[in-house]
Amino acid sequence: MAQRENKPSAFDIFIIAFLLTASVLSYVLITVFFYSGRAEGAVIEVDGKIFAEYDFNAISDNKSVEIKTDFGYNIVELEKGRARVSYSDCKDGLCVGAGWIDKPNQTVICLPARLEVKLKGRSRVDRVSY
Amino acid sequence: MKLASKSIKLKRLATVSVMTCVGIVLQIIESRIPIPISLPGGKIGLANIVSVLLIPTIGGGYALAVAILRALVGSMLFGGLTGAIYSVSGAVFSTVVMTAVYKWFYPRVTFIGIGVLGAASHNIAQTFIASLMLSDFGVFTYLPFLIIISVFSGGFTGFAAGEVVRHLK
Repeated sequence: MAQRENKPSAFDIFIIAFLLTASVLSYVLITVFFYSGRAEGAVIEVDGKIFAEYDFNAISDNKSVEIKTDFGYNIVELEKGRARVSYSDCKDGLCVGAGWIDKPNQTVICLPARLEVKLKGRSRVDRVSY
Repeated sequence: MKLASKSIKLKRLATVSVMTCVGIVLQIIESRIPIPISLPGGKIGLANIVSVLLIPTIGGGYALAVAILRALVGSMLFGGLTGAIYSVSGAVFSTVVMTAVYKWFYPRVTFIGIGVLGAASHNIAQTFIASLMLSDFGVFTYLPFLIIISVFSGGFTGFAAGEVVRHLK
């Protein structure tokens, strides 16, 4: 069991190379096919259920949405074509740190609050599937 | 004979307790390390060193017990109930994967590879749970990013555990 050297084996390097290649490849494919086009609206979901839905063509310049649920308190800011979580009472604050999103299918998620802000729009995937 | 088996049981119980504490302390230390750039969901996972270390020394079953206990106590310290679901699922899945890899592929796959696979499977489990809780499989689009981080963090924790094992024997 005792291992003299603590160096990666050929197998380790294969695993690492495989994971890195697969991730980078799928990341590129996702950005090219999934997150392309223009965002036309936003959906706010809490705990898997739709909380509110907005059409960017129908809103005036800025809109601030307060979401107060059993899971937490968040404020979502909407502008034409983009959205972000501007305030959250969760501890890690990752959702606020994620910043603005402006492509269809992009999401900002706040796991403690079970909140998901998702942009709608036509991406290449939609064009293929419709 | 009876006394001997009892003392072995006690020794294992003590090891589980001590190692759970070590894991929690590592988690606390990690939470104090400032990270200059925002990597949502990405972390070093120092406590994973304990899991990688326990699998070859006292066995996967005990490693699993320690991982679950640590995840429960850790989420009491840092998160809420939601946090506990993620931590426990990640801990269970990654420990099972690491034990299997150790059993079947060690030493062809070293502790570095085990650490990487453990970190990656931790993220896969958590992403899966997140997609279930939000009932949206779009969460998986974030997984490649998490796996790239886990290659580095898991490689580091695996290496660290390998160093400890090397000096134990």
